[in-house]
This record gives sequence, structure tokens and C-alpha cells, in this order.
Amino acid sequence: MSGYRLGAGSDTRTGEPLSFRFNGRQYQGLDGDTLASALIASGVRTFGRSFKRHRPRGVFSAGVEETSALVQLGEGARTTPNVNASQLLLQEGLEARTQNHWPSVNFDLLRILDHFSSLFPAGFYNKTFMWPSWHLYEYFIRHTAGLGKSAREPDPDQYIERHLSVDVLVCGGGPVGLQAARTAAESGASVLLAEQDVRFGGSLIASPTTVGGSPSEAWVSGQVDACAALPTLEAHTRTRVSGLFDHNLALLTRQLSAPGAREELLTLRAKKIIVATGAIEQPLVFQNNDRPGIMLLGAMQSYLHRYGVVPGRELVFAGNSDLLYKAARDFLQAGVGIAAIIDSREEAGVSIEELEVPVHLGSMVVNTKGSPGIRGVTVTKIENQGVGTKHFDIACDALGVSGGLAPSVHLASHLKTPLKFDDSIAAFIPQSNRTDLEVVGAASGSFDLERALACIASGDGQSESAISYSKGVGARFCPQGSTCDQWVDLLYDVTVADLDLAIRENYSSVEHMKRYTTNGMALDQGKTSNLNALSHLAKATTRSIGEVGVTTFRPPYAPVSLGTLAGDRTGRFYAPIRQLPMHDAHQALGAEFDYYGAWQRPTCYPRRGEDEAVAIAREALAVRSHVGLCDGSALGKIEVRGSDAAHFLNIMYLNNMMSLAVGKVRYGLMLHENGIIFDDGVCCRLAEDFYLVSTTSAHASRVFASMEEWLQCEYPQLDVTLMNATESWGNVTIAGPKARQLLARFDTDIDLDADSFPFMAIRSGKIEGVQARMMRVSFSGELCFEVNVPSSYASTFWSEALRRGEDLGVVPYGVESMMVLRIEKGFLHVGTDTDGQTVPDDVGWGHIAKRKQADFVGKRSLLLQNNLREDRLQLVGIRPLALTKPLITGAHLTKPGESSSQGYVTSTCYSPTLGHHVGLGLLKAGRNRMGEVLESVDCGTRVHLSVTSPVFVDPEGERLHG
Amino acid sequence: MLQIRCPHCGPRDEQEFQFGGEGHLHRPDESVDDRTWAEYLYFRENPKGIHHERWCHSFGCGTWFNIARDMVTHEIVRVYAITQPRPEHSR
Repeated sequence: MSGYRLGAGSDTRTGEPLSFRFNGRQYQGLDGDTLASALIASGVRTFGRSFKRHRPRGVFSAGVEETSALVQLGEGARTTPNVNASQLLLQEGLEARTQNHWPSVNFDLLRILDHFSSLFPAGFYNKTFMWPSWHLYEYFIRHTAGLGKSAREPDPDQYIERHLSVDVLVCGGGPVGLQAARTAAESGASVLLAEQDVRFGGSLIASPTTVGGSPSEAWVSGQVDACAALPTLEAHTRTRVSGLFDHNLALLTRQLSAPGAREELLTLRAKKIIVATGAIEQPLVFQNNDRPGIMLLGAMQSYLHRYGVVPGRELVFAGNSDLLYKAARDFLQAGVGIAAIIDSREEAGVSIEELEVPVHLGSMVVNTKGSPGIRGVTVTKIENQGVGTKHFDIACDALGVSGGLAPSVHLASHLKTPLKFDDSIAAFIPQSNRTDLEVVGAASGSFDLERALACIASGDGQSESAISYSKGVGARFCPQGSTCDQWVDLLYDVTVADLDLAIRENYSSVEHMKRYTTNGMALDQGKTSNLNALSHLAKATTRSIGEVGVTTFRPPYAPVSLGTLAGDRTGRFYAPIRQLPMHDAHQALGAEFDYYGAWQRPTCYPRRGEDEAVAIAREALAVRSHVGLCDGSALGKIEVRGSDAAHFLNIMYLNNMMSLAVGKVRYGLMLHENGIIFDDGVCCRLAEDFYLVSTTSAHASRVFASMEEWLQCEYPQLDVTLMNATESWGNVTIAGPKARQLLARFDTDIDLDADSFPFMAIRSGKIEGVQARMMRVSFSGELCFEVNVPSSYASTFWSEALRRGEDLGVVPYGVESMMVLRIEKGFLHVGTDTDGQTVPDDVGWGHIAKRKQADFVGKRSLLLQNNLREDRLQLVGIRPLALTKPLITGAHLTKPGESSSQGYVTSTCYSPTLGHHVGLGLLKAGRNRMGEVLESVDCGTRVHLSVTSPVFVDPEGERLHG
Repeated sequence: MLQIRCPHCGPRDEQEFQFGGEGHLHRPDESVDDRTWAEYLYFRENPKGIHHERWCHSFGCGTWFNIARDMVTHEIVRVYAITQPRPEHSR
């Protein structure tokens, strides 16, 4: 027990007592406390175990830069891993646990890893767990090295999303941010001010002072009141700017207190962004600088002022700037004694005598003692830039460390703002080169608050140069030898020895060192480790930090819940589902459904006791022998009108669409400009200047988009209008020898007779008084009428056709049954039987392409050498030698006993018409290999097969002409 | 995410648009040699500076149009109709 509550802090002044549980034990805190402050006040020191070496760790900070106090919050579906205890507001009944230990945080058997730490340097995993395979070790490693656990159940909470645009976004509600937001809003601009903390005031709440002669607390509340009165200013606490993106887009996450709603995601576009994110205190590097009880000096001040909590009974401060003395005065004024101050500089910038605290100038901490928490420090005088000969010990149970402030440059860096290293503060400063991005206050290295405020008030905004500390800033590294117990990155357990190893192994570019050691890659994204790692790298490779450069800061600034980003786009809202106009009718018939592109379509309609295979075979046979109904509504229907419609379609299609007579239908292939098959479908001419293009279901919107692009970009002079009418029309496909008989039972003005309405014709008219378009095309190889009626009428027509055709043996058939029918006929399915390299000649359409005189999309590409090769993959049929054997889609085709691929199987099915399996495939020079025996190879399964024509049923096509 | 000023609908988020690649490509006559045709198909500019490219407001009005965009800063310096020639000086 070492931390205690001294009295009331500014956050807990009126706070009621709250009880909460940590690792199953009951604790008391105050309303206004964070989990960290309440636990420190209760004497808790160990908050978790480190990532790799399972070292005990305490609270290191009082804010977003926390490296150690990460906890598992809550239970069940709402449990959240890696929650920063120093930002987690205490609530009655809160339940949190430590992470990454076994069996308990105080007795962690995995601590053994620390004793063998010299065996686990950077790159250890990559070098060691190679043989025979990483996957052998992965399970164990993932369980020993890691952080919290995510919830197993679906998230029960809601996340809210809001889009807005403002004139000015101010990132950070510290003194400078408040002033900047107020100034902008007073000039009439719409402003959003975002502060990640629960209160505005930034550095002034952690370390009160005077502003413009008045106490900072009064100044802050005056500013907050003034801001609240401005109608164009929206100010939020608990709202973090997580990332800035191109064209001044900002992503903000706002924590909500509403029950069941966790966070709000704000996507915001700002005309101007003001970055007032302040600065982050950097730590010191010495041996065993990770023990519980060691924390950033500014964090100690924050716990004192905000929560009235002191982390120990005997305090020692170690640092390299005058921040030490401001902190000392704060504690002394509160009546808290300080055992010693250790300043790495030879000279302090303030008078130290009046403090009445032992101050050791020109000295640094070399090591710490204590287990698990700190019990004392070993201090040495720095002599000739090295560790002195005389060491002495100072007892303490809390050590505040301060390596000076580093501007929080992350958000400015998201917008690729150049960074310049400033020696006077030993940190990077963003150099905004644009008018719509301003970096102000401590974020710009301007640590003198009064001057920064004056700059804003005078409209100068960003001050010209960094303002250094009086007497500068001293060393952050104790100049001792490289060991594996001087931590640089506390969260990922990266030490000076790891950095040195990386440099020895020539990972001495910043980006290489970062990835090899993982320095700065943890949840905190290196907020307290990047700068120290860079300066060590610079020193070890005798370069300046400017030469070494800096790794890229990327969004998010701090972890964002995936739920917040996903918002409503989960479950059934994850992706839009397109349902057919006859969906309810299919459901009533007991259809099985599957997704085909975005469409949810029936696969088949199993009857009682049937599995899918039996149902598919039954449906396919019924179409061959009687009549079937298929919902073809998903087929694309694009209307092309205008005096140049024929000319335009002639360019779009490989086939000649100019010569198509009115009332006729022609099959066509559509190519990409590189000659590859894009889509196939039928083109129907309804009038001289009016075509209907029927595309495949999957490609409807892409074909429409492509036609629009060609029309608008390449042929804008043509008189053509395109309309995608896919969803306006329902399509009931009636197929089978009794199709005409069934259709004739409806009242229609269209003559169904084979002579007046032949195969490959289209007719417009009425059916039961309703507008209809009928096409005689066939994807099944049977006599077929595709009846298009308005979508709203489709369901009625479908049900009526089933009722009127009952005595004809009519059945509904699904997509899979349709696939069986088309494979039996060898009809091409683009995207299944073609791939990203298939050109028309590969599927037997080369002669049509050669014959066409006029230009069309992709024409010239067909003459490129690669598309004329004789060993190209060509579409063939395949049939197993042993007829009982099934074929496997995706299997490679080889010569018997050989292993080199000759092509692959694209489609397979059991043909109920033939009583055995058949398939289609793409085979090298396949058209000349009819009758050849090959093997199909799939994961060791070999099937002998023979190459055939792709048409297995009715090769003369007599049935579909019927 | 860029903000693009559709000539028809005004400034909208990039996610409403479809990128169409480099603009002002000349589609050669089919009589050209393989090399010329392949260059038309595959060879594209990648300047460190102003790039002329075409976009479609596909989740809006559906209009194709040209923009001149700085490839370094993403600044869109000009938006113009698809039928307009490539501007001489985009700044």
C-alpha cells in the first residue's frame, strides 16, 4: 500500500462514493475518479502484466499516452479489452480485470519469461519459430504474449453515426483550443471543438497556474461559458479526433453515456482545421524504468490536482527540465513532501534553494529497486557524459519521471505536415505549409501559454518558432551500457538492447527498426517511445535526429472500437440484399435460397423427404419432360433508345446488332477493351430505334455502367439514351415441351404459334390485360418463353401459371436446376466457364468476331499475339470414364499420370437426363483434343475422363426450336 | 476521402464516385500496330503533379466528367466536362 487520497481534487470535489470491483475485489472510489485514480488511492500498484515478458506494471500516465494500465472492462457480450484505466471514468458497479497473466496478476507463472529475457530479443519469433512451421507455435505464443480478450457474443449496443461539415474544427480543448474555438466562432464561423478528456482545460486542469493574472480554473470556466453562449460553436468533451484525412475530412469518436448507446462516430468535413492537441511528456530511460510506482511527472500532478490522489508516501522526481520545479511547488503547496529531485542538467532554470528539497543537479537515475513496486532509486552524477563512479541510493515508493514535453504531432502528421526536429525542446515540431491547417499552442512547440494565447488573439495563430525552456532540456537517456532492462516501449516490451540488436543487424532505417523491434507499434502508437527510440538510433548511428527521420503517424490517434466504425452496418445491414419480386411466392413453395451476387434466389424447391440433389434432378427432368417455371427476374434489362441505338449496340457487342430485324433477338458477347469476355446476353430489337438488352444477372449494373461510360466518354455525339429497367420487370421463364400449352391457357394478344413467334423472337403485347414482353430464348435447351410482366404483377402471374399448369405437371425450378439444364446443353456461363483471360475464340465465337467488319469494343485486342496463340485454353465438355464417378469443379486437367496442368474443370453436375456426371472445362487447345483421355486432379483425387463436345443433350437443338 | 465537385450535383464525398482512370485517352483506329494499341490499353501517366483523370458520379447523377488533380496534395484544381479538351495549364 503506498498511494493514498490526500483530499478532494478538482474532478472529485463533489463526488459521491462509488463502489466497483477490480479483479473480483470490492473497492471504493469517488464520482469523478478514473479507474486509475480510484485504484491508486486504494493503494493498488500492479495494474497488469507486460506484453512479452510479463513484468508487473502500474499506472504510467493520466491520459491517452498510457502504456501499462490497460484493463479488461465488463463481462459477457459487453466486455472490452485493453481499456485505458487512466481515462476510464468510474461508475457505480464497474467491473474490471487485469490482463495477460496466468494464474493471477500478483502471481504470474509466465513471469518466468522475464528471467530468460536475453533469449527473447527483437526478431526472436521470426528467427526461432520457423521450423517446421510457424503455425505449430502460434497457438502457444498467442496465449502468452497478448493483451485482453474480445467479446465472444454479438455486441448488444448501438453506435450512432453523424455526418457534418463546419468552417473550423478545433482539435483539443485545452487553453489554446478553447481560445481558438472562441475566436473563430466570435467571427461568425461554425466551429466544432473536440476534447478527448471529460473536461475542458487541458494542461491547466492537471497543473493549475494563472492566466492573464487570474487563477486558471476561473479562466477556463469563463472560456467554457463564453463558448457555450456562442450559437455557432458546438463543443464536446469525451470526443476524440481519431484521424484527419484528405480534403480535411476528420473522423471523431464521441463517447456517449446513454444506456445501450456506446459511441457516436462523427464524419466531419472542415474548411479549416486547428490542431491544438498539446504536448505529451516523454519518459527517461534507465535500468528497470518500468516498475509499478514509476509514472510521468505530469501524471502525478494530474492525480494530485484532479483527484486529490498521491501515488506514494516517499516521492522522488527525476527529469531534464524546469518542469521538475513546477511539479515540486505543486506538491509542496499541497503539503506533500518530496524526498529528492534529480535533474540531468548542470544548472536549473529556477532558484532551487527556496524549495527546501534536496536537488541533485547533473545527476540521473541509473537503476531502481523493488518488487513488484519501486522501493528506491540508485542515482549517479554524470561525469564526462558517462555514468559517474559514485552511486547512491534514495528510498522512494513513487518516482515521477519527466523527459520534457514533445508536441503531439500525430494529427498534423495524418495530413502529411512536414516535421522539423527542434533542438531547443529536443522534439519534433509540425511545419504546416497550408492555409487550411493551423497547429497552435504546445502542439506547435510553443510551450509559453500566455504567448500562445496572444498569438491566437492577434490572429497570428501558429507562432513562428518553438519556445524553449529556461536553461534548456537535458538528457533523457542515462549514459550506461545497453541492457535488456532499459525500457523504451513499455507496452511492447522493447528495450535499448532490442534497438541495438536491430542496429547491429542493419535494421537501422527508422521504418525497419520500428518493424523489427515493434517499437511504437502498440496500442499507444509510440506516444512515449518513438522519440526516445529515434534519438537512440541517431546517437548509435552517429546521425542527427533530423537525418534519421521519423516514422509515419497514421490514424487512428488512439484505438477506436470496431463497433463504432461499423455502426449499423452489421448483421442484415452488413450488405444490401436484393430480393426477387416473387420472393414470397418462392418462400411459400418451400424454396431453398442462396446468394447469387447481391440477389437472394431459390436454388431449388425440395419436397418433403427430398435433399437438394434429389430436388434438383427432379426439377431438371420435369423441365425436359413436361414444363417448369423459373424466376428470371434478376436478369438485367437495359433499354436502349435513340436514332443511333443500333449503331451504339453494334459497338458494344461482338455480334452484329445493326442487321437485327425488328421483333428479333440475337445472342451477343460483350468484351472488355482488352478482348476479354465481359458479359453475354441477348439483344432484342423492339423498334427501329428501341432495343432491349438482356444481361446476365450478376453483371446487370456493371454492363449498364460500362455502356454509360462508353456513351458519355467516347461516343457523346450519338443519339442514345440508356435506362436500367432491371427491377421494373419480373421475368417468369416457362420452359419445357408443354410450355406453349401452358402459356396458351392465359388470355393474350400475342400469337404463340411457332411460325409467327419463332425461336429468337420478341413480342410485346398483353397477358391477362397486363403489359407484357415475351422472348423466345432458352437457357435450358427446351421450348421456352421468357414472360416479362411488371414486377408488381409477377407474383400473381407466377402463382396463376403454377395453378393452371397443374395437370401438365408444371414444377417451379431453381437456379441450381437451371444450371444442370444449361451444363447438359453446354451453354456458357460467363464468369464460371470463362476467366479473366478468356477471349471469344476460346469459347467458339472466333469466327463471328473475324467476320464482323465494323469496329466494336475489344476488337483490335483480339489480334494481339497472345490472343492468337494456338495453345490457349478452350471450352470443352468432359465425361468421366467410369460413369458412376463424380467430377470436381476447379480440379486441374492433366495427361494421365502427369502433373502439369493442361487446364481446369469449370462446371460439373450430375445429369439426370443422361444418368451420369458431365462437366465443362477450359483445356489447352481443347477443340482439337476430342476423345482424348485425361485425368482431373483435385487434392489427390484423380478421375479419368474423356474430352467431348460441350453439348451433351440434343446437339441439333431441335427441342428449343419446337 | 476526397471531396469532389460534381459539375451537376456540387461537392460530394468520394465514396459516391467511381474513378475512371486517366482522361483524354485517344482510342486509336483498329489499323494501328500492336505496340500502339497496347500503349492505349495499358500505358498510363503517373506524374508527380497535375493529373487529368475522369470520374463518374455513379451514386448520384451518373455524369462522367474530367478533373485535374495534384497527385501529391490531392488538390483538385479544375473540374470540367467530359467533352472538353485537356486544358493547357491547369493552374
